[in-house]
Amino acid sequence: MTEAHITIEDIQSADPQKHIKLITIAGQLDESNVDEKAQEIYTIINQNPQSLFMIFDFGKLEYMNSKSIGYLTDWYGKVTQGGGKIAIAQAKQNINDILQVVGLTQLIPIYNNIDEAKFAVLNPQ
Amino acid sequence: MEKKYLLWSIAIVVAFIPIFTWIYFLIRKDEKRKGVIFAMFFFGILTVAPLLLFQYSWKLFPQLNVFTVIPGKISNIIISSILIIAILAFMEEVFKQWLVRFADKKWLLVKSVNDSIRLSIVAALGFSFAENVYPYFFQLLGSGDYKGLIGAYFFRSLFTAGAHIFFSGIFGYYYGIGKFVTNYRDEAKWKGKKLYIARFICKIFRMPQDQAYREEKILQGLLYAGIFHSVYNSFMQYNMIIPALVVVLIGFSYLMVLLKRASGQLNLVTDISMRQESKFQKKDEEVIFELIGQWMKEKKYSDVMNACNRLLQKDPENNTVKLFKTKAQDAIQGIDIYHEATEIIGTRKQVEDKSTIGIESVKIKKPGQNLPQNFQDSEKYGKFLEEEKKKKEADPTYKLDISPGGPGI
Repeated sequence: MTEAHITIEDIQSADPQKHIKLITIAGQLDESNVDEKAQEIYTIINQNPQSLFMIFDFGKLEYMNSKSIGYLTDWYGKVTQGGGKIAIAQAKQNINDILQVVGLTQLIPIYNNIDEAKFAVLNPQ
Repeated sequence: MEKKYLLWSIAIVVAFIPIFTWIYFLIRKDEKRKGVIFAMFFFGILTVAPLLLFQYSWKLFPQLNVFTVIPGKISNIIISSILIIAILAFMEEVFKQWLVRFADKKWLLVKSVNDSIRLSIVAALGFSFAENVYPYFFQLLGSGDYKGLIGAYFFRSLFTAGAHIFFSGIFGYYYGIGKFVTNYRDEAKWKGKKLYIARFICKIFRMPQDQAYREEKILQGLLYAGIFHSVYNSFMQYNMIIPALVVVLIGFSYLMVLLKRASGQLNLVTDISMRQESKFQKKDEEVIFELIGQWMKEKKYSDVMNACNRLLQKDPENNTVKLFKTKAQDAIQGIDIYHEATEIIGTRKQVEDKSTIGIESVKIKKPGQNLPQNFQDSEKYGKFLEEEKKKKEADPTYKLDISPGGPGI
C-alpha cells in the first residue's frame, strides 16, 4: 500500500464568512489510498459549504491517479457552487502536465508557490 | 463452339456492369490505388476455385459431400438443410477472408480499418462477379430464358451483390481491428473492458496477448460473416425473400455507417523510425488514458477530444490517442446506426455530450474573472509579499492575515 499524507491547516481570516484551508498532500495518491484520503477533503467541504477557499500544496505529491483527478474535479464543483475557490501550488512538472492535458488547469489555476496561490485565492473576482 | 464463346463473353460483360458500378460508388475515394483494387477483384474471382474444387472432390471422396452425408445423419429436413447451408456459407467466407489476410500480409495493403472493409468488399464483388457469370447468367443465356435472366440479373446484381458486400465488409471491419490490435486493445482496456475471450485464447494457446486479441477479432468477424450469410441463404432457400432483403438492407446500412466513421479512416500504420518520443512518462500517460477511457464511458466526448488534442501536442505519434479522439468525434457527430436510422425517419435526436470541464471553463472565461498573466510583477503582489515576509519574521507560526486593512485585498 502506498503512502499519502494530508495535513490541513486553518488560515486565519478576519472575515468570519470566509474559510481558508491550506491542504498539503505528500506521497502518492493511488487506488490503495485515494478513497480514504478523499473523505478527509469531503469532510472539510461538508463542514464549510459556503465560501470555502482551498489551497492545495502539491509540492511533495509524487503521483496522482485518475480517480484522484476525478475527486479534484468534484471538489472544484462543490466548492465553487458555495461561492468558494480552489488553487494549487507547487505542483511537480508531471502533475502539472497531467492536469494541463485533462484541462483542469482551465478551472483550477496552478501557482509556482504558496504565496502566489494565497494572493490569487484572495483576489476578488 | 463459337456460340459458347459468345455466351461466355455476353455473360462476362453483363455481369461486369453492375459490379463495376458497385466498385465505383463504394471505392471511388480510393482511386489512388487502382492497381490494388484490380488485384483484389481478380483474386476475389479466384476464390471461387477452391469451392468448385471442393464440390468436384465429392466425386472422388463422397464422404465429403455435405448434400448426402448430413441428411444421412440428421433426419430432420429443415435442420439438415440449414446445416448444409451454414457449412457452405462458412466455407465461402473462410476462402474470401483468407484472400484478404494473404494479400495484406504479402503487400501490406491495409492501413486503416476502412481499407480492410473496402478491400474485403472488392474481393467479395470479385466472387459475386464469378458466381453471376457461371452458373447463373451463362446458363440462363444458354437456355434462352431471357425473362429469367432479367429477373436474376437485377436481383443478383443488386441484392446478392449487396449481401456479399455486407458479409465480407463485416469480416473486413473485424480484421482491420485485429490488425491494429495494439491501439484497439489499449482503447478497449482503458474503457474498462475485461477482454475475457482474448485472455482465454492467450492462456489456452500460450499466445502473446496482442496475438490472442487479433485472433479473437478475426474469429469474431468470420463468425458474424458466416452467420449472416447462413441466415440470408436459409431465407432464400425457403423463399422468404422479404426477410432476406431486410437482412441485406440493415447489414448494408450498418456497413455504410462504419465506412463513414472518422475512426475507421485513421491511418494506424506507424513508421517506427519516424516515431517521436512521448514527452510523458508512461505512468503519467496511463493516468490520462484511464481518465479518457472513463470519460468515453460517461459520454464526455468534448472533454475527451480536448484532452486528446492537448496530449497529441506532447505525443504526436500516439495512435491510441488519435483513436480515442476520432471515436469521440464520431460519437459527437452521431455517426452510429441509431442516429443515422433516426435521421432517415426524420426523428434524429441531438447527441448527448455530458462533458464538464469544457463547459465549466467556458463559464469562467469572463473578463476580469482571472488574474492577469503576470500578476507576480504587479506592485500589489510585491506589497503582499513584503507584508507576508514581515509577519513571518515576527511570528514563525504565521500563515496569513487577511484582516480588512490587510494586504490590499
